[in-house]
Amino acid sequence: MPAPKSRPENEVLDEMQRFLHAAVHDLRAAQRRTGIAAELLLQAGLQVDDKDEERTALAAQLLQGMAKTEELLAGIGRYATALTPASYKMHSFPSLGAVHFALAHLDREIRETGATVSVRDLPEITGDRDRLAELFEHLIGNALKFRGPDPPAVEIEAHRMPGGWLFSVKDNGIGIAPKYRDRLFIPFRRLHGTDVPGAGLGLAICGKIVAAHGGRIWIEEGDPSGVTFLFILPAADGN
Amino acid sequence: MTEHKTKILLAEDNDGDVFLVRRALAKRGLSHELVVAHNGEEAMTWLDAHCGEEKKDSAPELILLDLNLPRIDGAQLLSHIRKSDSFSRTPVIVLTSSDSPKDRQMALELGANLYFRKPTDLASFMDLGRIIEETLKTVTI
Repeated sequence: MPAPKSRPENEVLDEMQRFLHAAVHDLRAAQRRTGIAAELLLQAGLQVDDKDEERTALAAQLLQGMAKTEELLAGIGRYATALTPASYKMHSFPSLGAVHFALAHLDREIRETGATVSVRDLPEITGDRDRLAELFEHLIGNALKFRGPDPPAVEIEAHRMPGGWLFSVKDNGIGIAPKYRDRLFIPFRRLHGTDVPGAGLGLAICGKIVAAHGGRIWIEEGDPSGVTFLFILPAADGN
Repeated sequence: MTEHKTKILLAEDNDGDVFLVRRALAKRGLSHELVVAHNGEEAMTWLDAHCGEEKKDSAPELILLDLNLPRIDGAQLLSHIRKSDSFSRTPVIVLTSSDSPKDRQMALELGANLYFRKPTDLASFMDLGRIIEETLKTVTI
């Protein structure tokens, strides 16, 4: 299996700096709502008038701020885990296993959205099964989150290529305008506001996981509706 | 006679910050109508639909925008606003979490009237409402 190419140190440091700035920006935003809501709530709590509506709204802000901060920290932790190829445990295994792990984690969302996930003839591959399960979880999870009016339908396939397998994860959701596609794998870069759940790191993590396996991930050109993610993973040893 | 409601466009993706702006306006007792765009593209589309002589009554009297917006960013949005016939003179307050002097300079060069860092405590939060009110007063004179 090809080892990931080493990158110039400055490039790596620049990337880390951008990541940290963006992380701090988002964490501060979550902290802002928590802190000011807390101060206002204490202030409101001292009033004699009936301020129930305001107190309820402020308490909700407090909880949402704390939840958002936790979500961001959890995402940063997963990104850190995905980051270092040396920490990956590579072995040969059926890729369908990674998909099943992902589906198990998404069980509730799949039931709630009435989603169908169809899988066609997935091969044996070489990789870190836990990290690849996470990759499928992010991609399938996004298909559920950014669904269209119809129940989500996700199709997963793999096609043989020199040196590996080309996987595709296709959905029937709201899609992504071509002009925004190149920035999707940047950490914390979002197309939607913060009322859509998530830390804004899922696709950045997917990018790191695929890169650690020597491959790359991108979005298929065209696709008038929905999105197809494409990525290459190494074949099983000896294949 | 119905009280005049100041129309304010807020371009902000963070729902916590939208809440803060609403609260700041309410605390100030400013009679207003707040239109919220959750990304730069949404803001541009809304402005394009509310420009021109025939739309003067529905045009915003004040625009608050964040520099960090999804899709089309705040700088591009600000540039678009200042280049348009309808909104070139509309007061714009850049409301942002960035403390970089370069961002402040860029915002002012692109035509923002004011650059205000998003509040991190109660005192600066109270300042926000005051600044919005003062900006609106300078326009109506």
